[in-house]
Order: sequence, then structure tokens, then C-alpha cells
Amino acid sequence: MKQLFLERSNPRNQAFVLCLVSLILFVIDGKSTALKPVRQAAGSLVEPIIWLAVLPRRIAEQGLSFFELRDQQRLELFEQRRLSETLQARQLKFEALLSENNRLRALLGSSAKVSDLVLIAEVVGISPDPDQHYAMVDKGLNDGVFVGQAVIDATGLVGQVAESTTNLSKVLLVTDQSHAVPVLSVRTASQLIVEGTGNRNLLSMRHVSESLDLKVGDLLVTSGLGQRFPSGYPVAEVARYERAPGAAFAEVLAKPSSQLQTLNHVLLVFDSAEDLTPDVALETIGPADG
Amino acid sequence: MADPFVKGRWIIFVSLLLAMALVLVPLPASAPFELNYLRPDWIALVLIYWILAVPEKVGVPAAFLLSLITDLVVGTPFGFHGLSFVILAALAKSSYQQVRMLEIWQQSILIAMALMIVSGIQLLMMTLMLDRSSNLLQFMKPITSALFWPWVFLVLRFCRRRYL
Repeated sequence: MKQLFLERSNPRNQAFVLCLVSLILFVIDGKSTALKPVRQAAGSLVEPIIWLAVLPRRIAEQGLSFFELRDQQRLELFEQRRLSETLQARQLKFEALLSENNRLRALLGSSAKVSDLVLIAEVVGISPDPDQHYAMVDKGLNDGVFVGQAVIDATGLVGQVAESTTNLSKVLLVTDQSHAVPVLSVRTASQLIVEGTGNRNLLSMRHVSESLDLKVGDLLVTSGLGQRFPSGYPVAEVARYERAPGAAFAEVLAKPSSQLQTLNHVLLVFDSAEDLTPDVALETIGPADG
Repeated sequence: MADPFVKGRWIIFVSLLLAMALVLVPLPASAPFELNYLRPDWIALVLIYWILAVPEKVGVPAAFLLSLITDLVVGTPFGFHGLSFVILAALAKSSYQQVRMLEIWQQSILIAMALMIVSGIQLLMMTLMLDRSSNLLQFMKPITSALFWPWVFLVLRFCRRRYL
């Protein structure tokens, strides 16, 4: 019998097999880190596609800045200088306090707090999938970025590096559902864990016992436990504290300190400059002598 | 890849690349973030067009490979788009003869329905298998995608006639 069909492949069979393969891959990649090296290597290959997507906007932004009035730029420059001088003055006192803190810690036999080294990076894109909260930044493996690295901005903790390819990194934000940060309440020094909710303005704390002293307005900073996040950076402010009578735990919601909606530049935190290439420009925050 | 393979298909690759870039383009910061849910699924639309137009060149395995690249670029776990694209490809491949005969607006409706089913599967995958909650707004995506189908169809048909 003459062949009636164009080709012999059966799309239904192919689809069935590939659906199974997809499900298996999904479970593996979704629940474990087994495929992370593959993702990283392949991610470096598809980086150009991501650059292609963000390029028009960058060109437009730079083009627009070309048309800015000189007076406006002068005003901005003046403001920045003023702000910089104010911050430098504050920094003097801060350094003195930090040195005193270190001396006191030495008296108690504790190790000194080291200063953090930061690398500034620009946010080039955000997750197109609204259910995932991440930002793409323009520094990658070539700049010494590593997975798990803490990321902050001028107002607080932003998140951590989830994936990194040659020149781009994916920063998981604190508000993502899969993210959790160990924090310390500034007022009472009680330790908690703050998790993302999927809502860009809210973080939640689970299993807060009734006996824990926590009030609306309390500032929560990173505690440094778990060695993942450096300590002392603001994470969130308690926004709602509800305790239903008879409930085992209180329901606490917090508002993130960092302006996650309008991220422009972020700082990637390094422990030391040891394994970085010399041309990576790091800034120090903290006491100058370390 | 042998040269004739790429040579005969470069317009398909380019159109898919552009579709991926379109999917990734960030919205301006002033726009409400939820607008992202209304973004049409350009990659799916372009894939469906090519399977309907030249099924002998694009099939289910190609859709699977495309889904892996999409997962990398969009940031979802491998296999997430795999299920969606493979199902869409199988549907398109097994019905292209009839679908070609329909008016463009009728194709839009079919595509909307297919994408709805696929969105439902994606929702189940995220919630049941990964314990992540998902916004129901994502069901607007199939509708906006179907609304853009006529333009995708016309543009790609022009490209196919001229470059393929």
C-alpha cells in the first residue's frame, strides 16, 4: 500500500514519551540540585538571548539621558555631593563605634567583626514569570560571583544569588516563596526566620510563639546565623501581629526594608578578596582597618 | 548541524529567538507588576505557527528542545515548559490539516482553549509538585495570546513565503 502520510513519526507516541521525560526532569530540577551544573553551563550559552531582550531598554535609557537638561544634571550632582558629605560625616562616627565594638568583643573573647566587601551591580531585568521573584544583574562568574552570595542595596537586604553564569546572575529576592532569612529583632534580640510569601510587599514569619516579644514596628536585621547572610543588614519591619485566642502561634507579617519594586543597583557581598581577579572593583563597608 | 539543516530553517530559528526576547523584555518600572500576567506567550504562538505551516520541519522533538531552552531563559525548572510545548506540538501536529482550513479567528479560539488547558497543567505542576502558590491571573495569558495570534500568523506567513 502506498504511503499515505508525510512522515512515519507518530506525534502522539513522541508526545507521550517526551511528556514523561518532562515530568521527570521537572521533579528532579524542581526538588533537587542535581541539574544545577547543567543549568549553569547551558545558562552561559543562552546569555546572549537575555542580553538581546534587555538591550533595547538600556539603549533607550541611555538615549533619554542624553537629552537631559544640563541644569537638571547640575542639580542632581549638587544633591549627590551634599548627600555624600552627610554620609561621610556619619561614617566617621560609625567607624569609631565599630572599633569600640571590636575592642569590647575582644575583651569578651569573641572574634572581631570584619568589614564586608561589596561589588556594585546593575539590575538588567526581572523575572518574566510573575510567580517567581528574581532579578537579573550584570555581574557573573567572571566577576567572582558565587551561588548563595548575599545581595543588599542601600536600604536593606535584597536576597541571594540563586544562579550565576559567565556575565549574568539571577538574584532570588527575599519575597520569593522559596526564600528564608534568619533574622534578629533589634529591640529584643530574639531570633526568627523570615520567609517570602510571593507578595512583593510582604514577608511572613512562621511559628512565632506567643511568649516571644514582638511588636508592630520592630526592625528585623540579618542575624548572620547559618553563615549565609552577613549580620546586621535590615531585612524587614514588622507590619502586622495577630494572635488569635487559642492559636498555637501568632501570625506575623513584615514589610521588606529594601525597595524591591524599584531596584536599580545592588551590592553583592564578599567575605574576602582572595579568589577574585584583580580587576574586580570592590568597595569596603565597615571599619577601614578590618 | 549540517549546513542545509540550518540554511533551510534560519527564519524559524530567528523568529523563535525574537519570541524569546519578547517574552523577557521587562516592563517599565512604572507599570503595575501584574501586567506581566497579560503578556502573550509569544514562544508558544510562534511554535504553533511553524508546526501548522511546515509540520515536516518542526515536530514534537523540536518543541521539547525549545522548551528546554525556554526553561533556561525564563528561569523555570527543566520540564515545566516541556509538558506545555509537547502537548501543544502534539495537538498541532495531529490536526494541522483541519486547522489550516479554518479562519484565523477560529484558529484563535482553538489556540485559546489549548493554552487554557496548558495553563491549567502548569498551575497543577507548580502547586502540587513544588508547593508554590500561583496567581489565577495567569489564565489571562491564553486570552491575550489568542488575541495576538492573527498578527503572529500574518507576520510569520509573510516571512515564510519570502524566506523559507
